[in-house]
This record gives sequence, C-alpha cells and structure tokens, in this order.
Amino acid sequence: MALPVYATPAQRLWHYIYLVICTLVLFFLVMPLVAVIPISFSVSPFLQFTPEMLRLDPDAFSLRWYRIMIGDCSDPGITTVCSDNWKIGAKNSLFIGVIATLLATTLGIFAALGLSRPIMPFRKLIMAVMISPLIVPLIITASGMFFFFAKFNLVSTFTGLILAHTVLGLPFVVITVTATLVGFDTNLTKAAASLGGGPIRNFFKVQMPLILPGVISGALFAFITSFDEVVIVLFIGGPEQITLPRQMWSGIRQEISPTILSVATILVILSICLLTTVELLRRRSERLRGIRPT
Amino acid sequence: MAASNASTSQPLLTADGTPLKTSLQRSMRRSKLRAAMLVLPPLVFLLTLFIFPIGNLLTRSTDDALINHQLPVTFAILDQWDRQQLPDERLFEAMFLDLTSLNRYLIKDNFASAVNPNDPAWKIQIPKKGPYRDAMIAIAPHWKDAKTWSPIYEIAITAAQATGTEREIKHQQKRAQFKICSLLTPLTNAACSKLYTALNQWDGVSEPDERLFKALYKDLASANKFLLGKSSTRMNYEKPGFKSLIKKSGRKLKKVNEPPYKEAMIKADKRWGDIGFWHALLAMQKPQTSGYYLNAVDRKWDENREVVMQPEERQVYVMLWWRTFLVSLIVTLGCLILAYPVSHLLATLPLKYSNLLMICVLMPFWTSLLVRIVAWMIMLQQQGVVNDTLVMLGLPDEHRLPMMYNFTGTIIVMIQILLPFMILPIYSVMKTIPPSYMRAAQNLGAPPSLAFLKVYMPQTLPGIGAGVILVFIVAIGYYITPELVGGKDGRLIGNMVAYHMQKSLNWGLAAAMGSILLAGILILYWIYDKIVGIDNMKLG
Repeated sequence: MALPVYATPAQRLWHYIYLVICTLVLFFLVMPLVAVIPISFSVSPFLQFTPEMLRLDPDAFSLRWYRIMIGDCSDPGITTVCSDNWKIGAKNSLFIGVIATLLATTLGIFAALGLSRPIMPFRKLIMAVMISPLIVPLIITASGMFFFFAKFNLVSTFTGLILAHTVLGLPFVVITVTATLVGFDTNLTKAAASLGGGPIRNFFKVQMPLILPGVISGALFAFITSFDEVVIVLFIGGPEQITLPRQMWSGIRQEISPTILSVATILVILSICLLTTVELLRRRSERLRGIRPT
Repeated sequence: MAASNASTSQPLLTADGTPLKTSLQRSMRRSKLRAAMLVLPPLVFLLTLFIFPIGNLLTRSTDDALINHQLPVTFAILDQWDRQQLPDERLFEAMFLDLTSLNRYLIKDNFASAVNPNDPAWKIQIPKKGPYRDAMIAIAPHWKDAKTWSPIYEIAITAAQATGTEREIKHQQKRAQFKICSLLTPLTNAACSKLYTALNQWDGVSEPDERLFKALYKDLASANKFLLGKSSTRMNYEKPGFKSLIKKSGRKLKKVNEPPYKEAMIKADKRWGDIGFWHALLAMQKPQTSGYYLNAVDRKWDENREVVMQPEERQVYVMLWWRTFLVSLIVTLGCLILAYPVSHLLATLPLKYSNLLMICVLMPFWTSLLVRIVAWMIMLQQQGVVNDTLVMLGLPDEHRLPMMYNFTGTIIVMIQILLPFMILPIYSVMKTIPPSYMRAAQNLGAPPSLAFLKVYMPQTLPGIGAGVILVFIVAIGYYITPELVGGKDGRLIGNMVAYHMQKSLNWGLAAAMGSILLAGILILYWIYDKIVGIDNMKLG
C-alpha cells in the first residue's frame, strides 16, 4: 500500500511511523530465532556474541557443539556433558511423532468426513469435543492422563506417549481437513458413484486427492505438536522416554550449553521447511478447489 | 390447487411403491447412521483418552474418602461433641482405636457413614506377637469362613499359574499382590506379599489356619502404616502440624494398652490437648469435601462450619490467580497492540510481499516452544544480546537491566510466543474488508483518523474478539514459559498445579485448581464459539 500523492505531511509522517512499528514487530518476532544461529557456531562455551565473533574472526567459529550434539565427544576442550542423549532423543521424538501422526491423521480424517456430511446429529457438540484438546491447558491434560494411564500401566511406556500425542494432534487434522471439505463439490462423489465406484474406491480416487493438501498440512501440524511436546512427556514419560524436547528441557534447567543452540538451529531450519511445505500445500488446495488468491 | 389437493389425499410414491415420506426418512436415517459411524472411532478415542481422564481428575478435587477409612469410629461419633471444650474420653478412645488398631479392615461396615461405633468388635485388641486367628475371628467372625478368603485366593493362584518370560511372571505376581491389598484396604498401591505367599500354600477349601491369619495381620499392618502416612498428610493440609503429631504420638501410643486414653494421648503428645486439632477434623468428616476448592482460593472451614480466610502466612493462591489473570491480560493487550498494525500491513500489501512477511509471522509459530525460550534467554539475560547492545549504546555496565527470570521476562516471552495467535485471526478478517470503504469515507469528508475509527475498526472487531479470546485462553494455562523464564515472581497458576502434582503430591488441591482454571477456560471457549464459531477455527 503506497501513500497517495496528495497526502499531507502529517499523513506522510504517520505512514512512516506505521511502517517503522510494523518492522519493529516483525523484527521482534524473528530476531531471537535468528540470533541463535551464529552463537551455535561459536567456539566459546558462553551463550553470547564474543568480541571475536563480532570481528568475524574465523577462529571464533567452530562446529564443536554440533559434534557434541551427535555424540562425538572426541573434542578435548569441552567441559560440558556429552552423551548420546540428543541422538536418542531425536530418534524417540521421530518415532513417537510419526506413529502419533499416522494415528491422528487416520482418526482425524474419519472425524472430518463424518462432520462434513450434510446430516450429522450433534455436530456442534462433537466438533467441540474434537477441538477440546487444543483448548484445555496442557498441564490439566497431562495431570488427567497421568492418573488414567497409571491405572492401565501406560505410564513410562512409548505406547502411553504415542496415545497422548495422538490426542493432541487430532484436533489439528480435524480442523484442516474439515476446512478443505467446506468447499468440496459433493457432485463429484455423486458422479463417481453413478459411474459405479464403490464408497471405498470413491474415497481414495476422488475425495482423497482433493482433500490431500488439508490432510498433509494437518498431519504436519500434528507431527510438530508431538515433536515439540514437553509437558506430557514430563508427566507420563519414564527414564527411557527421552525425547528431544525433554532433553532440551533438562538442558535448560540444569546446564545450558551451546549444544542446545545447535539443536535449536536445526529445529529452526526444520520449522522453516515445514512452514514452506504447508504454505505451498494451502495454495495448491485453494487452486484445486477453484478459490482464486486475492 | 387441484394438483396439491390430490397430493395431500394420496401420498406420493417412489418407484418401488413405498411412500416418499417413509423412503426419505429411511434414507435420512441411513445417512445419519453413516455419518455417526464415521465419527464414532475418533470420538470414542477422545472420550476414553481425554475427556474421561480429565473428568476423573476433577473428581479428585472433592474426594475425601481416604480419611474416612482412616478414622471411621472417630467420625461416626464426632457429631456428638459440643466443639466448645476438649473432647471427652469417648472421642479420645475412638481416635486411639482408629490410629492404632487394624480392626477397621476386618469389620464389614467400616466406612465412617456406615459404622456402628458401639460394636464391641472395635475394642478387641489383636496381640502383636500372635496368636492372631482367635482375636481376628472374634472381631469379624466371617473371616473364619473359607468363602471370605476365596476372592483373594483366586487372585493369588491365578497369578501363580501365569506363564511367560521371567519378567512377565514377576510382573503378574506383583500385580496380584497389589490387587489383594486393594480388595482388603482402600489402598491401590500397597503390596500384600505375605498373603500372596500364604494363599498359594493353602488349598482354598480347608478352614483358614493361623498361618493365613498371620500373613493377613502382617500385610494389613504394613498397609495400615501406609494409609496412616497418607491420611496424616491429608490432615496436615487442614491443620499444619497434624502429620508430625500423628507420627510422634504413634510410636508412643503403641505401648498404651488400656484406658483412660485421653490422658495417655495427651501424655504422648500434648498437642492432643489442643482443641484446634480436633476442630480440624470437622472439615474432613464428609467423604466429599469442598476444602480443596476453598484452599485454592485461600479459604477454609472453621470449627463452626463457616468459611474463613486462611492464616496470613498461608495465603498464596488468591495472589497467584490474580497474577495469572494480570499476566494474561497484559499479554493479550500487548499482543493486540503489536498485532494490529502488522495485520493491517499484511492485509493491504500486494500478495508478493505479504507472503514473505507472512513467513516471518509463521516461523515462530512453527518453531519449537523450547527453542524460542532458549532464544529469548540469549537475548534477555544479563550478558545477553539486548543488554550488550544497550551497553554499547552507552548504558553503564553495572546497570544492565534484569529482564530474565522475573515478571518482565515472562511477559516479553509470552507476547512473542502468542503474537501469531493474534495476528492470524485479525489478518484474516482485515483481508475481507474492501479498501474502497475507507476511500469512500474519506471522500465524504472524514479525516483519516475518523474514517479509521468509524469505518475500518468496527469491521475488524470479530477478528479482534477471536484473537483476544484465543490468546487469553492459551495464556491463562501457561506452564512451560513461566517455569523456565519466570523466576520467582513470574510463576502462574499452571506452575502451582504442576507443583502440587509432582512435588507436594497434594493431588486434591491440584485437581481443584485445575477445575477452576478449566471452568474459566470453558466459559471463554463458549464465548469464542458465540463470536467466531468453532467450525471457523483456521490454522496457518
């Protein structure tokens, strides 16, 4: 939005103030994440920009914290804890995240398909239940699940964590898939049915390709939720369930070392990749459903 | 007219001859059923793993049954006490029995509301070194019968026959021991290992012998210790000092064998002569209590069953609720102020640029919460980026601003974390407002500020409402951020819930605080539904 030529000086001034404010806010949003990246390459074990780094001295940068992160403890100069925990954590987080996402996506698609049908008794109530894991504070969810899972011996098991993370991921899939189904032309399924397609084939060949963008972005949301989840892990995870966030949590609480920043850098890059994917998918979905970008 | 008359007198038929109405109804029903079938699996999943556990958690906030198992006789006659003076010998005797004897596990009606305090069985003492059988049968004759033993016998032999790996067998046995104890006592996490062994050496039909009774006595005694520990913790919530009183006098009371108990107890610990401890019992007498809720707002029952404030030094929660509310409010307002111009910019810029800026907004949204917290630690700590920059700009080195591990830190970090939740709904509303409205208003002579206030702003209200409620809901239940960056004066109610869940193990209080929090959030959720409709919730 450009300023019209007839704007008064006061309007001009106001317009520039407005732009400055916006820049500052965006800066505020992104700056901390950007600041992490250079420090993760620092040589020093302190979490700050050293004068050498500011002078861009090549000796001030190294990959030592990344080596520690992957469990390579050969560096003689390190004094911080060095273990395989980051690797184990990443593996566990990935494992829990992938299975929870698959479960949440399957269940979420069912829910969204049912909720988008023209006749659905108690639609509002069911929708409210489906979304409630997003609304209830995690601390309450975690406390409730702790007692419930303890009864069924699910505390300190991977099964327990996967189920809990499925619950947290489900609303995201329901929301995104329901949103893609809003503009869905039901004539397509009717046409497919009239041409002899059975309901299952109809779903996979006609409906699924069209709602796929929504499904994938919902799945990505569910995955990142599980991948980033720490409260439930703290409550119902045992010593074996080291996940990445849990490892970060104990790192932050006990001894904060630049290794955390290397992990953080990788996670920031991962999040940018995920974000771009979701954004591209959203556009594809709009194109498929004939919604023109404005 | 004629045609419609004909159709009312003669029902419309479908091709196969059934009336249209029936056919439509049938198809409706089928369609409904199909939709329900689709929704059923996820719904059942959420109900069992999410809604039910939370409901179960909430019941803990009023549950006070445990203490009624501990003090059945005392509570049965507590109402006869005038509450003005120290109780008489009768109540002291009841308390003595409740604290020392195991009889309550053997007698059938052993819950406070169903107890017959005049039953002589309460006063029978089981000799500590045996023989146990005769005394225990005198207390509760039904234990003489092999049938009374058969439920626990079944558990024991089933577990003993378990097959599998060594670890699995061990696990099964342990579970059986827990199960036996949970049938005999109100405890679910005590292990009756002696009974388990003894039952497995028994044939299940012959008359129970001394060996079984000995095992029963020993296991009940150790379970009793456990229960006493738990219930004295509960009593301590009502009156600090109760736990140490029970613990200290418990050892001495073991040596007391005969009345008068009043003197013996006061001799064992003079605090039994303090009427305050007896008054505290009144609040625990009912199996359902509102005490945890009162405690969560710094109140309690007094001896006249009236709600009074907690003593000054124990008042923390009202302040915490207030702080939680304040932090959420400041964060919400801060987010709104920061989000409004940015959303406007995003909504009015050409798509090319706005997409790029959108990535700036969404990137924090997608980045791990812990990563963002670490990032803020680097920015805000004493030697952090912000302070370093300020020092470079001329701030004296010794006046570095404390921005981390306090109230300020919590606010700054929470605003950054929640800002996307505010920007996105406002942005999506602003996007639908045609720019021509503002131009029209200005064309008609309104100065830009007036046009903005009267024309543009009112149209963005739905977005503001959605964002405000969303941010407030998320902020009010925050736990991780205040825990890591809040320090001492940035702790919120969520941290207190976690503290009582994990550290102090006062689960009733944690549940009560959780329910109050949840109730508040549900109200906001309902308002959100009224304003935006939950169906319209969008992501990204």
